Amino acid sequence: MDSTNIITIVFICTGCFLFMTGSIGLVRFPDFYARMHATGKSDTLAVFFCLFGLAIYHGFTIDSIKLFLIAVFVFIANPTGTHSICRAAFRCGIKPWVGEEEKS
Amino acid sequence: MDKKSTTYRTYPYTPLTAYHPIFSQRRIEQVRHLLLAFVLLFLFWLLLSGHYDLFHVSIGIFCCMLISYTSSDFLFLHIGADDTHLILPRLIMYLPWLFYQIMLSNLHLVKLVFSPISRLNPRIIPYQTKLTNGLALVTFANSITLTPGTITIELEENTFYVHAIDSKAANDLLTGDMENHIEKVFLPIAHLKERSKTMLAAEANNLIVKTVIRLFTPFIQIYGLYVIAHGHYSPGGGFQGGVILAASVILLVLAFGLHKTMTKFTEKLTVMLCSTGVLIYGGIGLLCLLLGGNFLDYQKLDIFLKVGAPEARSLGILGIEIGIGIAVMACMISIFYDIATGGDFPEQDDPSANDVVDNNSSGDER
Amino acid sequence: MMENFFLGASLFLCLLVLPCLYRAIVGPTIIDRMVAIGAIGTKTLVILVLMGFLYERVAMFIDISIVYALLNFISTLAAARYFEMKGDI
Repeated sequence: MDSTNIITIVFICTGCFLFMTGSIGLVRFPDFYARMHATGKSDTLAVFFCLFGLAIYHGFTIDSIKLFLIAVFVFIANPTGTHSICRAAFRCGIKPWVGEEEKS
Repeated sequence: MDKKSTTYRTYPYTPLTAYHPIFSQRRIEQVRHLLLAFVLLFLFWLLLSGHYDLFHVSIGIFCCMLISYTSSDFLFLHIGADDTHLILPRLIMYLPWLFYQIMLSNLHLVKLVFSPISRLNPRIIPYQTKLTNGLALVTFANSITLTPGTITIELEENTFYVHAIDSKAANDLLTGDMENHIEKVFLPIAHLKERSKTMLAAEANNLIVKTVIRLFTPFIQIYGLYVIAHGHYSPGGGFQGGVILAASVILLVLAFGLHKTMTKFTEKLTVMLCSTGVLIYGGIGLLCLLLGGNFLDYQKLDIFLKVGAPEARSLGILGIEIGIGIAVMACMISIFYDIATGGDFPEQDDPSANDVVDNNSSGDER
Repeated sequence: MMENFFLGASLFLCLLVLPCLYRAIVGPTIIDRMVAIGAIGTKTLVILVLMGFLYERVAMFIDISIVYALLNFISTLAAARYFEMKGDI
């Protein structure tokens, strides 16, 4: 078993685990803003880990740099999309859930 | 500009601006922006395209010149071309720290997901910031959104409204650690406060989305042109590249509002581009017909080009791909304008005529 | 052996699309659905690159996934802007 293979497997498994966390958070959390926390962030980092692992597997070629480029794009674009959706929801008047005491 | 009023320095250095009014400070800055944008976009093209022979590199140079001419001032609104070499290394050194924070707090988020819901304690915090540069604010906002536990909801004047998911995340933000790091990154241009303040006030609404779209647009356009030019090696060709180019213009509409984009990328321009594209396509086909072959029989082009039949076919296909790309881009933009305005187009000099999608973007700069 | 691992990872990611679909169908507000579709888009991006490795044509699938990331981004921004303008959910 090659060392690059082991590193790739570790990275991709971490990425898949983070994707799983994001999906479970999407189902479990009580409120729209909390769900955005779960998916918007863990998905971004998970994409980075998966693509990094695949870039290591592929070796140091132009394609690996392109994979890194996709990761950078997702790193900048996903938070902007998250912010944009939250802003739209805030302007439409959806209030965040505030824990056990029911104060609006 | 009066030549007599220019002060000459004692050492033998005459600034370029002293020679002739055409060398005004603003023009020198624009040329610097153009050159730096060309270099960046050309590096990006070389990265995308795996082929480094003369033909593809020359296509790359032409495309990068075109895009840097049309879109270079998108990249350099908040920081100038001279400041880029100061800020970029510091930004790259900031990234590992940010990454470390992201990983630490993702572990915290994983714990939160698997714990009972009562542990969550979400609230919205206003956070006053002392950063003034537009790019610094956007970097800060995206860093807040990336570190789990906090999302930037709104950015007004100097205040961030941040939604924090529990008290640990809120306290992490309120220590001000991240803000100090970003301030250190943008320290060399902190003296340009005045310039940033007026620009920020002009586009206070929706700064984050606007800045990110501005930074992305030239690169997306280069990617569209790459897809058109490499149609016969990788998935792509005229149609896909044209759609990507149209998508970049649609992104501009999302950032700046429909009216402003329609004044820059007018209906007349779309019609002209569409006709040009069809002319190129039909023209090449007709040229083959006139030279004695069938319609679009590219090997007859060899009579002009003299490079051999397979090369002539390849160049002929490239030519019609370019024509198709231009036509598809113009058509998609035209369709988008039709749907977005609902059929009633604004008059040429009536900025308030089209309020449907324009409510939030009045009176801002490019 | 790595092919099997990539295949397993792609299948796992495809299975993870199901909770997002659940949220897209059930989610009380429209924005919940938008978030879920964005999450599905991000997973699709990784699945595309993994498929590129499985089919041994990495360069082609990377180009496709760049375009897909772009489309995902544009659709999220456009939908958010539409709801902000419209003023109600």
